[in-house]
Amino acid sequence: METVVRVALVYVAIFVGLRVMGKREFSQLSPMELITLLLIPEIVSQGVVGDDFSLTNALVGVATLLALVLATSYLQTMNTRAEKLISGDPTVLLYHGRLYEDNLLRERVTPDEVSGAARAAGYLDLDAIEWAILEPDGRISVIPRDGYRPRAVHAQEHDLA
Amino acid sequence: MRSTEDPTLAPGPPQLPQAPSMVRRLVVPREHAVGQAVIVLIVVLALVGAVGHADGGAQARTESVTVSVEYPTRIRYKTEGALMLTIEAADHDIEDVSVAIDSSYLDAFAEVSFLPTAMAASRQRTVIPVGDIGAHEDRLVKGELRAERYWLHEGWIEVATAEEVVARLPLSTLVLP
Repeated sequence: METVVRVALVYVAIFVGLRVMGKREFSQLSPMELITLLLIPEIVSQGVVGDDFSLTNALVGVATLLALVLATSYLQTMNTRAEKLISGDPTVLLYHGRLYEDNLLRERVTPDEVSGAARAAGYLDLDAIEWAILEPDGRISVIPRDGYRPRAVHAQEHDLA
Repeated sequence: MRSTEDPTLAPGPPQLPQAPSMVRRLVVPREHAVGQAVIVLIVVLALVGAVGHADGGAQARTESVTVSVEYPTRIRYKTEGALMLTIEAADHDIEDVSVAIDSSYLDAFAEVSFLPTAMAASRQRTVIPVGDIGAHEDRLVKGELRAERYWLHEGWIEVATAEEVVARLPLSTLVLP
């Protein structure tokens, strides 16, 4: 029973910690963010399994984690308020060519990152973008304005002869 | 990127279109039901202690002595457990008491240590001398065991004097991997 309680506490702590850090930590990670998330398992592993290195304990730990993930998933599927609490809401970063600085600052997104998302979608200029939305999973969705088409960038265009 | 609006007067961003609503209910696909049930079962078994450490005991009483033992009946691999044997003399003194434990049972454990220290060991038995016990006095033999071999291990623990075996109690321990 102690392992179940330990895993559940660590799961809740990490989940709440990442949730309050915002959506950015779920998207492409900067080196600092990646290092932090790689270190978390190392730091918490001893707290999770304690001194018990048996296979039984490992299976109990994994089953507990999977059960919590399942429960979280079912909860947010069955309840709208739970879904908002667990996943959060999308945030408009840009509309009709205008960046919303308050939203950018709150979500710790820079204009360069929005431009980068636009370029990844094939748009060189933010004037071509109708919507740029920071999704709950940290991705930036880009919706172009009517009449604008993405520029397809092919690798071979840059190959030297 | 240009903005022709005065940001101090401009309104906030527009609301995003809402996703259509649907009746939210619990649906578990048949192909996932068994697996998810197994996962939940493992957690429930762990919460009720069915796959954790458990202790059990046994007791024997004769005219001259009462012997009781407490030991791990279920233990996980590489975890430690304690074996406690209590010998209580009845109305008269008991001389030259010793405790013997089935060596094949102890083979399931590593880092075995006893207090008092075991003085003799063979393939059949490990002997721990206790000495004399006065009337209405008791002695405690304590063992520390670390589970090393999986599955069920059975054996016995025996209390004897110079003349006879006064009590023999069964031991049965399940070592979970």
